[in-house]
Amino acid sequence: MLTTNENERVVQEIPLVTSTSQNQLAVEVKNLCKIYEMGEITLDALSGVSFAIRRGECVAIVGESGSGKSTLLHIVGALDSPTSGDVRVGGLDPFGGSDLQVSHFRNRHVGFVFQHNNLLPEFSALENVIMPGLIAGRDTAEVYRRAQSLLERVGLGKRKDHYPGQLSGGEQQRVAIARALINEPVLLLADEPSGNLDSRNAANIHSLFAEINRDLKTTLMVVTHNQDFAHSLPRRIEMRDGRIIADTDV
Amino acid sequence: MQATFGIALPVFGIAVGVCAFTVVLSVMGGFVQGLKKRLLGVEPHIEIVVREGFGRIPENPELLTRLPELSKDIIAVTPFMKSDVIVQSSRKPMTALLWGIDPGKAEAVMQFKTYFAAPEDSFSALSEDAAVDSQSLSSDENHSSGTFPTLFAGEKLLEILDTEAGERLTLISTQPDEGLGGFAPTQQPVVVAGSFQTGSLTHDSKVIFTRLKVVQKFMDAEGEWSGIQVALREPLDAEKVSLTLNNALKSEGLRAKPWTESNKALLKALRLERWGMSFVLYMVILVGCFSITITLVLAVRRKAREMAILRSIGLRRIDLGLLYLCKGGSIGIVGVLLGLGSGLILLQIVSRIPLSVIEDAYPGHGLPVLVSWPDLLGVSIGSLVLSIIAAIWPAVEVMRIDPVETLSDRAV
Repeated sequence: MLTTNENERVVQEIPLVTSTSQNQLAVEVKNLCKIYEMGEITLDALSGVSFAIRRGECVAIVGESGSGKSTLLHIVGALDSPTSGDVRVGGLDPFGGSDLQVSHFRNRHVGFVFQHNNLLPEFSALENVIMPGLIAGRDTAEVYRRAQSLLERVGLGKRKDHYPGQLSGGEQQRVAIARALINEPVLLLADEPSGNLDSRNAANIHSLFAEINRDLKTTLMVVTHNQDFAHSLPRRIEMRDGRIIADTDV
Repeated sequence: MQATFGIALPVFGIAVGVCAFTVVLSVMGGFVQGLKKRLLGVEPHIEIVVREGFGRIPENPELLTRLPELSKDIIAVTPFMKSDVIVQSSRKPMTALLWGIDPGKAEAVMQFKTYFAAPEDSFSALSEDAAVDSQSLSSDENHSSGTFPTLFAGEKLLEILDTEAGERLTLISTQPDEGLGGFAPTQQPVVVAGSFQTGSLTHDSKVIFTRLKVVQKFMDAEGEWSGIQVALREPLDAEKVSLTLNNALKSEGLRAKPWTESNKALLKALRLERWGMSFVLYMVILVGCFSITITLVLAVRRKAREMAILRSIGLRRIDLGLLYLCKGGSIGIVGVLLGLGSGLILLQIVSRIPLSVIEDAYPGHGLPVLVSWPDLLGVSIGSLVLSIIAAIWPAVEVMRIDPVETLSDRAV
């Protein structure tokens, strides 16, 4: 297990913008701070967080509620913006441009899986999966082909025309994972993907993530409270009070 | 189901507004068209009169032949003489407008044929040869001998005078003439050749048509005209043609007076009424648009999570905003199409069913209808623009959705 000091050392060893290291790193975070201001009260959600994730790595972010895990995930996925600090995903700074560029980044370079209610209820499983591909403006036929193949990979090939309301929680999460992968992102971000599932479905989702990481070489960053799942992943970043307190690389 | 009902409400609101607009403006258009038709059946499209004041112009046959050459829109011209008179029947007197015309040319200038009470009547009955011999008048009348000029009077005027065709009337000048016994009004016995009904109370209760020469003699204005009546191919071009004529006739001390100037107050009132009605009807459409705003704002709040998911998978703020503007536009399009369709069907119905309240003006007919397509196009485009404007607030609301806050557990 790495201590905080060791973690800082790791970050210091990784220069932020170097072409060689950029190609090997999926995520670089340096001195990331996020402060929420609510009237006179300020809340430090993240305080000087730094770390790096190599391409193809699979990382669990663990910690107590309110430790800043989800905030970190949202900022890395450009859903939220940092108060200060640097973030690079695939060598790109997601906050360097307009809403158009940030949206393009979210669409092409990252995929999100949330805890629940991930899908658009008025669209079928297949339509949900193709949505990011259509937003990206890719060839429709190709997008449909890839969506079909991804749904088969997650075991829902025969349920592609079912609506979210007709799918179980575990099946909905699998559709969400397929959707997150449709544009072949550099990074797949999951925020407690099995938090709402029973143990059997949770185990299925965990296996699916492992498969995706192994077969597609997609970099994974998963926030989870499930210790078994966290321990099954090769690397764990533990957070407390907006800081990284441990970075364990097995 | 909830969403369908939510969208149906603003669609219905717009449709009701557009339908009301279509029906009311078309019926008003029908009434105004009828009014103008009646007005122009009697009133000349253009009058050539003296440039200043109310004087007369000297007889000028050369001008009559020159006028049609000044504008290709002119189809006929005829001189006229007008004067206020008192007309006396054997039972009662009444003021009237004595209108002297050239019987041979008036038919071409005034589209009057359909207004005569008897279908066989025409202005040619006013020619000298048709004057009625006093001997043929009813025996109980104390009339003088000789032939009398004939006239056509409005049906309402004859009704007031309690007189019928074939009976005698006396025209009394309102300007006394100096005679042997001092100042006395000029009198002229005439015989009623027939009557007319234009549908315009002003004309039907006031106007008397007779031969130009009779009026000239009666007014002691031989060799003079009040002016020249001009008929145009298209009456709505009267102002444009008047400009051309004014340029040509300025040096002769004459000017062209279009019918729109003669009926300025009436046309202004009609325009004002139309504006007022349009304003009220736009208010109805505005209420429909307000329900678009309410419905879409509620939809934004109901679907905030879906919108946040779309943002998380790469949809831009502006895309979400445009999505809601398109929703507003789509509601507008459906509402306008439904409103136009139902309005046109309603017009077909009201134009075919005779109504007792308009029986006097339109016997055996339904409401008069004139569908003005440019107006309907204007209303449709206006409603569509208002629908899109109504969607601006929801569009701004959806653009302000924060995906993090909406997708976090707190928002679930």
